[in-house]
This record gives sequence, C-alpha cells and structure tokens, in this order.
Amino acid sequence: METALFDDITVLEIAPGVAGPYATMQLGDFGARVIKIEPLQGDWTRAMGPPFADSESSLFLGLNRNKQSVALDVTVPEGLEILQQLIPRVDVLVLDLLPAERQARHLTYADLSALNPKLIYCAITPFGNQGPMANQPGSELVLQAVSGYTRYVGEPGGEPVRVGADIAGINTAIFVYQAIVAALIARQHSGVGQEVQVSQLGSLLTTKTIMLGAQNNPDEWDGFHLLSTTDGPEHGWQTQDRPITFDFGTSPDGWQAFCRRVGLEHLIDDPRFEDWYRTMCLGAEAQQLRHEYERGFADKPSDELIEMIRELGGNAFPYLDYEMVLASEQVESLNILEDVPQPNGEILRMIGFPWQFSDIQPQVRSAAPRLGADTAAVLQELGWTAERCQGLRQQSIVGMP
Amino acid sequence: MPGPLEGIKVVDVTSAAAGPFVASLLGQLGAEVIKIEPPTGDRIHVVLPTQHGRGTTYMSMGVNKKGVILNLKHPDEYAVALDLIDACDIFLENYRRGVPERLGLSYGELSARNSRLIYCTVTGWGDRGPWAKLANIDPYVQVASGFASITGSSGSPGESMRYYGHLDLTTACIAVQAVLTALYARHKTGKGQHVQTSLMAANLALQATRIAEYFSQGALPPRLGHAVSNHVPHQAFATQTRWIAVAVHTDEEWRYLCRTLELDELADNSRFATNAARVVHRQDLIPLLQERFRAKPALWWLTILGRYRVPCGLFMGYPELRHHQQVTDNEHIVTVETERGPFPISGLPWRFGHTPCALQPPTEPGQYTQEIVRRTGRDSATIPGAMDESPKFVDVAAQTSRPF
Repeated sequence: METALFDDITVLEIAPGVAGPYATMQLGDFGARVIKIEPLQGDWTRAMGPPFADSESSLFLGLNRNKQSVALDVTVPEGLEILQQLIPRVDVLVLDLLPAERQARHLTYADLSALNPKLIYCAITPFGNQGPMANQPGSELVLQAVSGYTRYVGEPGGEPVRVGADIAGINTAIFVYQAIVAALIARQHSGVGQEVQVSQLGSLLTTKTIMLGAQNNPDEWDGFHLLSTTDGPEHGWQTQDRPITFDFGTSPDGWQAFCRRVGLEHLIDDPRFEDWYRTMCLGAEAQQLRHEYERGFADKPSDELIEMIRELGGNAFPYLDYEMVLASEQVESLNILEDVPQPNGEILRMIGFPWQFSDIQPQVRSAAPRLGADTAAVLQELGWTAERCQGLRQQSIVGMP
Repeated sequence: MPGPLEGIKVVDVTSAAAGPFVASLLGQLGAEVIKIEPPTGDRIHVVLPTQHGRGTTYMSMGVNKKGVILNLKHPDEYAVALDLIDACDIFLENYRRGVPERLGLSYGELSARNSRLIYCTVTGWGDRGPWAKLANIDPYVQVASGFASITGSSGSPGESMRYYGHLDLTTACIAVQAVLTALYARHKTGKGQHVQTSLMAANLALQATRIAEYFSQGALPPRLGHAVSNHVPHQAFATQTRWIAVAVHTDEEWRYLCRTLELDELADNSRFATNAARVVHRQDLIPLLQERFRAKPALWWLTILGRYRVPCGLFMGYPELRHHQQVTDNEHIVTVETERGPFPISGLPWRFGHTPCALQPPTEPGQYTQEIVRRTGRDSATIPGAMDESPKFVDVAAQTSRPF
C-alpha cells in the first residue's frame, strides 16, 4: 500500500499504564493518528523510573511513540466538554477506567455513542465489568497474582516470584488491538461502531486456557502442566559457564550416545532413567534428577554441550540474558529493533514490530511526546483561539509546555 | 458463527499450539475455521494430560473449529484442500520451512489461485538467521529470548515458567493481530497478503517494556523476586496470614497507602514523595511498610486498601480462582460439554456490544470431514477412506508420555 493503513483513523486514548498505550501505539505504527489524553500531572508511567531518558521514564518512551499528547483534566465539566467536542472527530476511544468511574465521569458508551454512532469504544478493566472486584484497581503484579501466573515460578508455598515481563499489561494490549481492529472490520461492513470490553484478568486466563483444561480430570493426572504448580524453580542445567536446557525427543539412540560422550553412561541402565525422555526439558523428573546430568556438565562449556546435543539429534539452548540475546545474529535477522531519535537528540533503541507483512509496513514516525505537547494544536483544531487556550491553562483545565 | 468476522472462512493446517490458537481465536471472532490434520494426527495429540484419552492441549486449541482429516500428500485429498483454500479468506500454516513448497501450499502458489487470500505463517525463530531451522518449543524460546533471565528471586540465575504454553499462545495472539490488520487492509485494496510472525519475535515484543529499559540504561534488569526495579512499591507483602500484592501508581495512591498503614509522615517525607525517590530509597522504605503489613490479616488489608482504591490482590491458585465470583460473574472461565465430558476453557477475551461472539465446544479430529468435503461438490462415496478417524490418536496419547 502506498499510504499508511490506518491513515484515516483517529484514536483517542484515555488509558494510562501499559495495556492501553501499547495497543494504541501499535495502531499508530500502522499510521493511525493517536491522541493521548493525559491528566495534568501526566500518565503515571512517565514517572516509573529510573531509568529515565531525557527526563521521561524509558517505560513511557517505549510505550508511546507515534502519538500526540493533550494534557486535559476530564474530571471537571470544562474538560469533559472539550472531550465531548473531540468525540465526533475520532474513530476509536480506548478507555482504561473502572466501570464506576466511567459512570461518574459521563464517559459510558451510551454517553459517547450518542455523539458519534461510528465510534468504537474500547473499555479496558482490570478484572471485568461485572462482579465483586469490578471496581477494584489492578496492577501488573496484582493481575499476575490473582490470575495465578505466580504459581509457575518461585518455590511453591514460598515467597512469591513474579514473571519479569509485563504480561498483564502486554497480553491485554494485544487483545485490545484485536478488539479494535475486529470492530473496525465490522464497521467497514455495517458503518456503525460499537462497544467492546477487554479485561486484564480475562486476557491472562485466555492465554492460560490449556491449564484450565489440564486440571479437569483426576483420572488422567500426569504431565508437566499439572506438576508445574508443585515443582521448584526451573533454571536449567548448570554447565561450566551458564545453564542450558535440552531434550532428545523420544528416540533413545541420541540420548544414549550423549550419555556416553559426557561420561554418564551409567545413567543408561539406571532404573530412575527408565522414562529417560522425562528427565530433560521441563517436569518433575527433570528437576529431581538434574544433579545426575550436572555431574557430567560441570567441566564443559555450554557451547560445547549444545553443539554435541544438536549433533546427536537432540535440541538444546543456553539461558541467555539481554546482553547476549539482543546482540545475537538471530535477533538481528528478525529486524525487530528500532532506533527512535528522542527530542533531545538521544537515540533510544526499542522493540519495533513483531510481524512481517508482504504489502504494508508499520513505521516509527515520532518519539513519545512531551506532556501536553499537542494540547494547543488540538484545541485550535476544535476552533479554540490561543487566548482561550491560555485561559484554560490558567484554570488548570489543560496543560501545555 | 456470530461475531465481527462472521462470513470469513479460515483454512488451518497448523499443528501444536502457536498455530492452532490463531485459528481458534479467529473462530471465536466469528470466522468459520476448518482445521485440516493428517491421518497421523496433529503432533499435539501426544501431550499430557489427557481427558478420557484425548490430549488436553488438542482440545483446548480445538474451540470454535471444524475438524477435517485430509492426507495432503494424496492427490485427491490435496485437491479437496485446494478447493477449500480457493474459497477461503485466511490460510494458516506453521510447517517447517520448505514444507509448504513441497506440499504445494506455498504463498506463491496459493495467492496465484486466490489473490484475496491472507496467508499467515508462524515460525519458531523467524524465517531466516542461524537458528531458523532449530527446534522451537516454548521452553526453548523462554530461555533463548531472555524471558527467563528477567524472572527469579535475587541470587537466582534466572527462571523459566514451569507451565508452558504462555509463549505459544502469546505468539498466536500476535499472529491474530497481523491477520486482522491484513483483513482490514484487504477491504481497502481488494488484495490479500502474506503475514508472518515467530515465537521469538512475538516474545521479544512481550518483553518490550523491560527491553526499552535495558537499552536506555545499558544494564541488565535485576531479578528482584516479586518486585520490579523501576516502580516502588509494586511488590508482595507478608501479612499476618498470607502474602498480598500491592502497588502504587499515582501520588494519590501513595498518600492513601500511607494513611492506610498509619504512616502519614512518610507521605510528606521528600525521600519517599515520588516514585523515583522511592526507587532510590527502597531499602529504607520497604521494611517500614512490611512491618505494618504483618500486623493484620490479608483480608483486613484487602478490604481497607480496596476502600481507598489502592491496587491490591491475593496470590491465587486454580482451586480458589475456578469458582471465584469475579471469574464466574464475568465468564472468564466457561465449562463446555464435550463427548469426553464437561471441559473448562477460557471465556471470550473480548466482549463486543453489537457483534457478540459465541464459544463452541472443541472439535474432534475429522468430526466435520464428510460435511466439508461434500461442500466441495464431491459425492460422499468418493471421500477418501483415509479420512475416518483412526483410534491411534487415542492410543498415541495413552502409550507414550513425552515430556512435551
């Protein structure tokens, strides 16, 4: 396509944090105009550091490229009025407010669709629109805890451990993007918009659907999925330098040859290794018998072991940290890193686009905006004079640099 | 099927999880999904546990699909598949590289027959690069993408999630984004296109926030157990009874937390007034908060923090979660009836007001072979015999218990 895919789409984001901004950023990557409405003190993620780059947190900078920022207090009537003037001009509204807040601030779908029937109104909640926790706020860790993801890391019964990635934020964001584009597709045919809701708890349970089924049948209770909540921490097999993980499928030849090569031939007839294929990769047997392999691995570098395992028909990978993986040839070949020039001239490298398309190309067009950088321009589009903008600023209804 | 993709047809020849879940989500959005598997079965059939003989993962991935068995290496059955693909909107594959060409199912061949076709490829490590041909299951992507390196308590060498599937299913979700984007584009251009993602690319994207922080400061993210380096407090606290998760995002929430803990003096202390200051003085602050939390039970804290709208929650496991009113009221988990008894699956991740979606129980392998083959104009008598379901699917699962 000659022009950007969403170049005729305007998105309004009232969704601080990770989930909303990540989704709207991806719409912006495909050319949508994204107007980020922030409270006068800014999206809270701006302050989530150090690290900071150019006085904004790297977290914020990595989630808000390709956007405009309007600082606007939508909790006061004058601010709400400005928002209501914007609604007929936009295609998509992404709102991350608790259901009670949407009601109290006159920002329900009924309120806003009356102003624009083509509006796609995407409401993000922590726990869902109904139920006893519907109006409780969430957070990354709170959602990981409530959805049970913390059961798969750390010592069972011990101090909790979280998944290091922001899965509650980003997995939700991916569903938010799907919801919006699916609603845009429906609008291509129907001509009307609609409300669509995505919750963080629902999102995290969706990516866990295998686990929901796995625990259903006590008569056939076996396999790593079921043991994952009772096993200890899983950190691979220590070698001379760094841990690895490995397997040999179900064909015994490679495994036996490997045992001989690393001086572990006694394992071949060891009755504990009868189900030898279960003693590798993940699972309780692997954890219990780890030390037996590690005896043969202690004096060998990971590279050598991995090469040997692959040569013998097995699979193996080292535990890599960011320094190693992000500089690797494989990541280079994925073309997934983008260098984004910041307003002060610094370059911030970040994740770009996890897809390849044959006919369209997402693009970074601008760095994340300063708070309120576009307030004046957007108000002027609505017909507000510079003088009236200044008035609003003095009343602390809008903010601009 | 109802939903925003009503009327869209999908032909899915993927196996395992990362591909099949793309098809399931498209089916949940209202598309008709024809899942083609070979007479030898999808390779996921052998993954434990089973549900009365059928692999759980196969069933979980089979929601909102129509199972068809075709041997694509047989010319007559390949011809059936081509007819289905010619009439479809979206084709999904996650073969090893080179296989689509060998089977006559490459993007070049299929798009030449159907220029509106959206052809989606899911690979492990990407379609090029030194790892392109290496095995690519979820646990390997966890360790090789850095995902495991940012999880674990301090002193840990990094830690994998012991339940796997999260990276597979995240990859599927990211592939669905691409398919929907291409579908939107097709309405404008009239043309389909080839879209691709990989487990590696998808799971780097899942780490986008940590990776932005890493590139900004040039230092590896520290492993802090339940805490995170750039946000304080955002961690677990031990109470008189059990651990709770607590977070403060805004200045207002910080003041409310201090009030709840009867530590108002901290709210005004400049060493703790902003998140950046709290990050610097974490070691001084956390013990003060932790001491207070220990004095009362978890429920007491959840109730009072909830009153002030400070984010907090319990660390829950499946038994607590399954019938929790928050889950049941929102239908976050739904039990569907199957031939193998009731089976719990996740609820719909999106709730559309005007184009609501509906969940269908998982397909059995080949359950729809006759119906779908007849649709291509072939007499049912000419449907190849290889298509009837072989009991070996069940036997495979029962006899071998592979680690993955």
